[in-house]
Amino acid sequence: MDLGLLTGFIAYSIFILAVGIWGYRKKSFESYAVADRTMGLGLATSAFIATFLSAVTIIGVSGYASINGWSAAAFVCYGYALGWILLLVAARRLHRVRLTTVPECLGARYESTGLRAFSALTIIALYSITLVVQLLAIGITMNTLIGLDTTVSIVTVGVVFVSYTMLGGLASVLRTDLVQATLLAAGVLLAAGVVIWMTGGTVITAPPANLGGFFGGSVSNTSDFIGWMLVWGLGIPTQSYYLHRFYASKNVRVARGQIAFGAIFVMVILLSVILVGTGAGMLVPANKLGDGAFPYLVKNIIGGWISLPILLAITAAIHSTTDGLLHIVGLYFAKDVFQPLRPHIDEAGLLRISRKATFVFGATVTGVAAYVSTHPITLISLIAAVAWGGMASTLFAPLFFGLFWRRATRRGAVASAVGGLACSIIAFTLNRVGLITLHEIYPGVIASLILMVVVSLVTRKNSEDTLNRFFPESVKA
Amino acid sequence: MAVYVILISALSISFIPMAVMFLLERRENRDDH
Repeated sequence: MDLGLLTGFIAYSIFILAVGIWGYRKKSFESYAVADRTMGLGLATSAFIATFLSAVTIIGVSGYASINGWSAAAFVCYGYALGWILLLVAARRLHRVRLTTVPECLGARYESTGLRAFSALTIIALYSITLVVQLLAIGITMNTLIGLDTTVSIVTVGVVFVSYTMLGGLASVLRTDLVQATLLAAGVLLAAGVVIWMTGGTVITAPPANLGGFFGGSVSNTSDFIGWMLVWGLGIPTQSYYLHRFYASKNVRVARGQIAFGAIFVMVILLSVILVGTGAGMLVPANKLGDGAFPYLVKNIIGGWISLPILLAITAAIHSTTDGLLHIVGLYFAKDVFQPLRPHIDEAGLLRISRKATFVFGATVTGVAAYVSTHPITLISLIAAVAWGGMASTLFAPLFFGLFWRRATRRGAVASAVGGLACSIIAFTLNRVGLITLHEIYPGVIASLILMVVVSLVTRKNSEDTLNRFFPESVKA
Repeated sequence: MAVYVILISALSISFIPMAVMFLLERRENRDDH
C-alpha cells in the first residue's frame, strides 16, 4: 500500500468533509434544496465544471482515448457542446418559474401529480444505479493507485460524500464543488503536461497513425459522428443535476453564464483528458489499455509525488458528481414523492425527510456498490447502460415542449414520457439480442416526440393560468 | 494534422454557448425596449 498517497487522500477527505459540514449551519429547506436561490456566477460555474466531469468521464474517456486516440474528441466533445447549447436555451424559462425540482416543474406545467411522481421515480431509480457505477469506478481506481482494498475504498468515499450531502444539501455541494473543480483542473492539467513532456510533444505533433485520426472506435464515419452527437446532445439537457442549478441561480445571467463560461473550462479539461489517454496509448503496455490505462500510467509510469494531485483530481471528480446526484435523489424523493402524499408537511419536516432520504439512498448505493465490487450483478450494468437513453426518452420531449410550446398538454406529456421510456427499454433489449444496431435513445426520443405532438393536438389544452405562468411574454402581447 | 483540427474545432465550439447567451440577451433587451 502507498502510505504517502493514502495520507494525502485522508487529508483531502477530512478537508472536504469540513467544508461540507459548514453548510449544516444553514437550517432552512430553501438552503438545502436550492441554496437560498442566491448562487453567484463563480460558484455556479465551478459547480457546473465539477459536476460535469465525473470519474466515469475521466477514467472512461481517457481509457477510450488510450485505444482510439484523438478520435475520442469526435465521440464526445461536439455532442457535449450541443447539450450545453440546449441547456442554455432552457435556462431562463426554468429559472423564472421559481420552483424547486424538475418533476415539480413538469407537474405544474401539465397540472399532473402523476407525471410529477413518475418523472421523480424514474430519476431516482436511474440516478441510484448511476451512483453505484460511479462508486465502483472510484473503488477500482483507488485499488490500482493506492493499493487500498476496493470495498474499503468505496465505503470510505461513500461515508464522506453521503455525510456532507445529507447535512448541508446544495449549500454544501456547491462549496465542495468549488474546491473539487480546482483540484480536478489542476490534477488533469498537470497530468497533461507530464504526458506532453514524456512523449516529447509527439502526442500532439506526431501521434501513431492508430491514435491520431479524427475518426476511430465508435465513430468510424460521419453518420456515427452525428449519431453520437445526438446521444450526448439530447441526453445532457435532461439531466436534473444541471437543470436543478437554474433554480438555485441568483438571476438569469448566472443561470446561463454557468453553462456559457463553464463549457470553455470543461472543454479544455476534456481535451487534456483525451491527451492523457492518447499518451497512455503510447506509453502503457497494450494489455493495460482501456479503463485502467490512466490509473496505470499514473502509478507505474509517472509515479512519484505527481501521483498525489492526480489521485486527488480523480477523487474530486467522483465526489463532485456523486454529491450532485445524491442530492437530487434525496430531495426529489422528499419533494416529489413524499410531499404530495403529505401535503400539509411544513418546511422543517420536509428538510428532515430530505436528509433522511439522502442518508438512506446514500447508504444503500454505497452498500450495493461495496457488495457488487466483490459479487458482480449483471442487472446493475444493464440498467446503468439504459440510464442515459432512458432519461432522455422520458424527459426531453415533456420538458422542452412544455417550456417552448403552449399547445403541449398533460395527456401528451404523459404519453410521451411513458411511451418514450418503454420504447427505449424495448430498443435496448432488441439491441442486446442483436436484432437492431441503433442506440436506444433514437427510438425512445422519436417515439416520445411523436406522442407528444400527436396526443397534444387531439387533447385539451392546460388552463390559461398555468400557461400564462410559463409563457408570460404571450400575456404581455 | 487531424490533431490540430480536433483541438481548434473543439475549443472553438466551446465558445458557442457564450455566443448564444449574448445573442439571447441582446434579443431580450431589444424586446424589452
